[in-house]
Amino acid sequence: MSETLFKTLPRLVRQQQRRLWSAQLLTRTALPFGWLVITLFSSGVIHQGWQQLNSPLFFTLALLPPVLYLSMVAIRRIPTMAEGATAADTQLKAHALFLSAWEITAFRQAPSNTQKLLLARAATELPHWQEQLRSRPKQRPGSSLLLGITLAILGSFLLLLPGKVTQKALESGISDAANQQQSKNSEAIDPVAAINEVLLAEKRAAALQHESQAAMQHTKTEGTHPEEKQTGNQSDGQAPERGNESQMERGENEKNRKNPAARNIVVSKVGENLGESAERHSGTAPGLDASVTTDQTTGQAAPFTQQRYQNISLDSDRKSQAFDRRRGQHLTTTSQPLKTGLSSADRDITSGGEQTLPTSMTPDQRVLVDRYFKQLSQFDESKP
Amino acid sequence: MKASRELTESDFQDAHDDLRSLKQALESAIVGQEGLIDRLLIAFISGGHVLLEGLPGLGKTHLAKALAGATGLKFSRVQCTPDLMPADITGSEILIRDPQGEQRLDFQRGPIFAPLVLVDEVNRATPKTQSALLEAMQEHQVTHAGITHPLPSPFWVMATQNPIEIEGTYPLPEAQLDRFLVKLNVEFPSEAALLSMLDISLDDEPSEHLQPVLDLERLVSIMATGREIVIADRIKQAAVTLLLATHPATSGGTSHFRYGASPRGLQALLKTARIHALLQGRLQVDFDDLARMALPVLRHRVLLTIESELDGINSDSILRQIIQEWRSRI
Repeated sequence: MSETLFKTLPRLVRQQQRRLWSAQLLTRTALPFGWLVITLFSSGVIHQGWQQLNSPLFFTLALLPPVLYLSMVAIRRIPTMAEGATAADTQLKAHALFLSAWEITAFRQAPSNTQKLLLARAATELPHWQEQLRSRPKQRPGSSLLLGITLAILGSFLLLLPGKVTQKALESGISDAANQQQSKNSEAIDPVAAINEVLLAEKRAAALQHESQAAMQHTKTEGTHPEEKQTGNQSDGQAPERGNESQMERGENEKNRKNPAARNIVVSKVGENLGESAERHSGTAPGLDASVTTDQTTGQAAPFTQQRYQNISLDSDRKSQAFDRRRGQHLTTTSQPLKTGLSSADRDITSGGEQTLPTSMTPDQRVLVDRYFKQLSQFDESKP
Repeated sequence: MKASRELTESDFQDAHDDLRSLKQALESAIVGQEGLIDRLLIAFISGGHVLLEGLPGLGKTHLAKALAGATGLKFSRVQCTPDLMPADITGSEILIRDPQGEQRLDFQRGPIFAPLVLVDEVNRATPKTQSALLEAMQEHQVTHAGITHPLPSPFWVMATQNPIEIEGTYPLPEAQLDRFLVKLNVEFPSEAALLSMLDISLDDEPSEHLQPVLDLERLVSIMATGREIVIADRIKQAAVTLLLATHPATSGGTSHFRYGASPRGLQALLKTARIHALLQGRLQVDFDDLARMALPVLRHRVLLTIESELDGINSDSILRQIIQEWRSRI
């Protein structure tokens, strides 16, 4: 019987020690669990209602501190065997009989006379103790715990689902930044003034086109100047490079034509950052210059002109320029300064309009370009 | 000696039963003081001296008489007054003439030479007399004219004092208070207890007619059995923690005590806890035994700060709070 006691008591104490350890962890989960619930739920609500959040980051933010805290508690607060024995004794209401008997068995010293009597009493009680410790009452989770779990799960779902703002952006094809920019512009600009500016810009564009045509006719009548020949020679020297560039551009354009979505990306890019777009396209391609001007105008008068220029598709090709699908005609280049303070862009546009595109190409190159644009005009855009 | 022989389960059971009998005998004489009787018995079997504090007329003297009557011990009483001299307690040499006609000085033993001594109103004696008494309590001997006279064994002193009549008294210093194993407060009895008291002690004093339920040998045997009670290391550790909680340096918070309990207090706590366990029929000391005995053992061993005393704070209330917190931590 004594041997049974010597084996059983340490086992019961170890079992109680583990329970004590887990109970300590559970009692200390209130703070980290609160953090988890609050972080998950609030970030989920923000993600769905206000601003799209980085879900993995917020999951990490919600989970990492509690895990670290509980790990620290688990390592630092491992109960001793004596604490386990005390806890078992308290649970059994053994009035230190369990504790005293365990100490006698743990120290493995020759028990004194009274200790033998005590062990005998403990041995009598042992089956009862085993029974009691085995059938410990299970605690039901409290209402606050259930509420916390529910909120945490709900918050996780909200955080996992795509945010409200993201869905809108996907539907309209306009990014959040563009929305913000448009809303900013719509607040800042007088719509009537914007319309007037657009109309004025169109008039000036028409006047510029007229001037350009007149200049072209004048050039044709005068013939080719010696400088022009010289320029042509220089151009010949640079021809391979330019030829390569134009071939690369053509390759790009071919790709864009085959993939209309790629062309749409240009629109959204312009919409995203007008300043950057103007800088990118300034002075290099007349067609794009015009489109940049239009976009800038569109951007400034967004609420009223957005619909009008909604169907404008841009092409990186120089001659096709911007195309108004609603009207079914190309937009013309503009070189007139706008009142919106876009002087640098205007200057680029002006130079773009007056640049010596016809003289910078050899006649062979012009033939190639014309053939290219003929093919382009035969291209059916409605087909994907 | 009984302690050296093999103790059996029946020995413990007999000791427990004898203690119960003694307790019942005392309760038959003193009504409405069950808690006080329990603690007095525990201190008595632990072999310690007892300081009883209470208002006049609550039965302190009767309790001592009843204990002496129930144990069959020789009982002596000293009524302390400011003019009481040490020799009046310890004894003195007097000139005697023997039958042969020769004269010599002989030591006449004082009232201290009795197994159970009741020192009534101990705080009315001068510090010199108190000191002589308390020396006898500690050393269990009296030295007179270079000759040491041992006191009877076992030897108990039961001192009483009145908490309200302060004028003309000499409060016991802390060092001397420490010699008492416990300090018991005699509370005013309840209404029911007062009615019962009238039934048994209106015209007579039952403590004077109490028949012994134990003899001295049996009493010594019970005391030896009490010393065999097992105290687990965890219990000892808990007792130390409790004692340190009374110290301002180790209490961990703002303490109301200027001085905490002494190591002698720790010994007293475990001694009394053992007998408390025996009285409950246990072979081992429990945390509850410590908790029950902590207040009577520690209350006269701690010293309140001046601020706490001015605030009217009672050391008992602070100790109760400490014991409660200590118990909840275990």
